[in-house]
Amino acid sequence: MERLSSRGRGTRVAATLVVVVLTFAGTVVGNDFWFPFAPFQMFAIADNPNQPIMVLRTDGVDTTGRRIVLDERNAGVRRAEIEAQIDRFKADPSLLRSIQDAYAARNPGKPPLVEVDIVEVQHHLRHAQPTGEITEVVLARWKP
Amino acid sequence: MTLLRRWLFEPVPKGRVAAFRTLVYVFVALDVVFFSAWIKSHGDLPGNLYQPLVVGEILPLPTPTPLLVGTIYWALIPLSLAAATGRAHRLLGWSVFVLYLEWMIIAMSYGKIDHDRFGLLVALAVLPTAGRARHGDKEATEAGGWALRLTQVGVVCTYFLSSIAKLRFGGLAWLTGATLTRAFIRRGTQLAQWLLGIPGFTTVSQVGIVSFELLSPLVFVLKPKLRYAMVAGFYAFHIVTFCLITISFIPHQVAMASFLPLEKVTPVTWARRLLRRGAPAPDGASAAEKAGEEVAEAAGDVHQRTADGLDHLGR
Repeated sequence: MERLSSRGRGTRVAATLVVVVLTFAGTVVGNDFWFPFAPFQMFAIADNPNQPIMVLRTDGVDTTGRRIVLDERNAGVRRAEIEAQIDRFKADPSLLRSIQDAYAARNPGKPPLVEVDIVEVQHHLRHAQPTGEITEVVLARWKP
Repeated sequence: MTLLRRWLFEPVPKGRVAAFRTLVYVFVALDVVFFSAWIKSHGDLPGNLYQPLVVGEILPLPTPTPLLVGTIYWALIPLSLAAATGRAHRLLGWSVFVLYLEWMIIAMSYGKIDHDRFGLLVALAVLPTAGRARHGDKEATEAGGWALRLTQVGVVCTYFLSSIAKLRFGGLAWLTGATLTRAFIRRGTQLAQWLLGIPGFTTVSQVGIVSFELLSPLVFVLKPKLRYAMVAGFYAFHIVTFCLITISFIPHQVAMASFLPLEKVTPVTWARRLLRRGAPAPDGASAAEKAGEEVAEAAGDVHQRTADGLDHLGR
């Protein structure tokens, strides 16, 4: 059997403690910016079982007037990332220009976008079950 | 204390370390190219969407550009495939760890933090310290044992701390809230949409998830048979999750293979055996075995003769 020297063991015990302490601290008092020791908080928010579930959708309108749903594939933007930065987009819709540019870079030859909208789709709930009622609200609009 | 130390350094066969190494590094290459291909697009995003992490500010890491992202991408693929062979495990291992960590930092610096890769990052951080290991080697190693153990700890932390985070951010209301409903509405499959119609389904599932996550550390105290059953349960959980909301957690599942006796998975030996069975005519392996027997016999003869000779002299 290949054994470790006492120094080898000591270093590893110390490394174990550092990792475990940082990992626990990250979840107990840290925030997302602590990554890779960020809290394990995917799906950690408790949604009210009687309030609407909001889903953001990013729409683009091209020169022909066609409305397109923008996603990772056609504009390189993840919905969760838009959601995380929604306040910035609301405060300054011109930031959405970057999405317009990303769309243009990924879709050469296709008509360019003349408008980018962030739409909030509200699914109404009762006792954590959808009632079937859906409302749409535009949160941010970039129309140069 | 001794018990804890013995647990932390419980030796494993080197063959297991070799197999885990191959699995992890092959996965890194696949991940970069297929599973997390979206990360590459972050190089195209404008700098104003970049929100540096603490680690990005301390070091300080540059704002991603297409050049930086492209360089890491094209370096990671060959380096991780080379590391999968087990050669130069330190040099290649540390290079892959540093590059993949930066790759992850780039991924998580745009507002969305995933926690499906913690175990994998731990595995990449410890594998360079696991020592040289060849496939099929039965010799036990403490360095390798520690590397696999810390990866397992990372995997179990992912479950256990997920529940702690739920209690911290959602509170007890999480159990009866609409978190799963939300997940199902946002990205649910047909099956999930159908299950949403069953009153109370999401609430019962939420209680189940928290119970399983809080109990996950038990995996470390169970006897092997139950332990493997529990790990099988973990895998089953991810299969169900995938069927409902198409979240695979695949990097986490790769790290979780650190719980398995991977040295028993020997595709190369199996393939050879299958080939041998397919061709029963005089084959290389049995010829070599015969030759080996002949050599051994010859050596025995020599030994016998020498002994005879000595006997003779002695007389």
